[in-house]
Amino acid sequence: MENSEQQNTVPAPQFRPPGCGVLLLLIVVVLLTISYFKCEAPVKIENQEIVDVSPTVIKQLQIRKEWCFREIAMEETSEIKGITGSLLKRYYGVMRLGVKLDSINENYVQFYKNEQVLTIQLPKIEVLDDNFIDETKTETLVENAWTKFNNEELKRCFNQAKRKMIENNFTTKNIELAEDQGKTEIKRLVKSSGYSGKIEVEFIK
Amino acid sequence: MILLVTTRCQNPNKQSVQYSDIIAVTQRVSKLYTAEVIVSKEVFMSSELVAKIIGNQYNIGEKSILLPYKIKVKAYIDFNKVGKDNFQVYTNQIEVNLPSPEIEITSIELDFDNIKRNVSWYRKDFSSKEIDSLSKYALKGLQWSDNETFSLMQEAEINAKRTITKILTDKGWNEDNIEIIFDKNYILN
Repeated sequence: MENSEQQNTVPAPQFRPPGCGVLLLLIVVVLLTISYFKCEAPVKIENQEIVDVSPTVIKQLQIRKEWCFREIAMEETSEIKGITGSLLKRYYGVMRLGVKLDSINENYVQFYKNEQVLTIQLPKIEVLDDNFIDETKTETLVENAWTKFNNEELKRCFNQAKRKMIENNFTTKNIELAEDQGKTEIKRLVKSSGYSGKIEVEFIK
Repeated sequence: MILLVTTRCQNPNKQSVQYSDIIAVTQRVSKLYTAEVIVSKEVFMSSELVAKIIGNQYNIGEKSILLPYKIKVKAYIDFNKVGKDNFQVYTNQIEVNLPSPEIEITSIELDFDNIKRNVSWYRKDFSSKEIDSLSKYALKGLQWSDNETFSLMQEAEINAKRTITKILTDKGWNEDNIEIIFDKNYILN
């Protein structure tokens, strides 16, 4: 009895404007229909990339007086931490050890001759140039997709690798090896120029 | 959501990968570097995200980056190629025959202070990996004119002459009696 009363109280259906969902559905249907006839995807997203390289610009020409006795090809990993992850990169470079011939005024090579021995004094072994990394070979090993590193952080990672390369390779052993090669080379040069006596080579420490 | 992402990324049980730090190959050389040029090179990359809706194009986000590089190129005399045969010693005169200078790139470094980035807020910023791959372009088209090569080689020869002459005069030779010639003479040519 109650049910029949309720049924009687249901209001008559009224016209309601279509909601957003229906409108969207209509738009999609229209797009699909047009694309069907045009035989292409209705919405296509493309990434248009351009890479441009500037012409070669020579900034400065400088005189160098460096005699390199040892080349050390290195690779080094460097890690920095971000807020949600870390960045691990591998760098490559060639460090050159030798003597800077203009380092001690103009008298970079000193000759002392006593009765028996010609003593040649050379400047100390140094890293000839602080710029030795080849960025075209750098690799990113680990990088968190959520963390992006700004220029300052990338510079920190790079400088950290460079510092480690110098610490690990500008060692007493490598300095001694460079000195040995330096001694051989300077003796060879002086002997080739006609000297046949005994030669001793020493490096300023 | 942010909390979920950050906790997912910071897994305390995850072991970090250990890479060997000391990998180096040493080589005995004898190179007399006498001249250097610093070359500046820029790599520019722009990426536009375009939506194509039924033939019409809409730009929905762009990003671009300018990477400046400093490339060092040095000229040197390879003394490994110099032996006794290169020296002709006469009573009062010495003649040194040196090989022509050679050129090598000694470093390619990014000038981090002058990198320029422009990224739309809804685009992902440039990753380290993307910058690495762009660095490969730094050497593309690295060339200079004959005049510039000539200047570098000429400077290299003049300085090599000065350096060797200085060593020989310190050793006791009179400067007027020292003659240094190169295999291919850039100064005379």
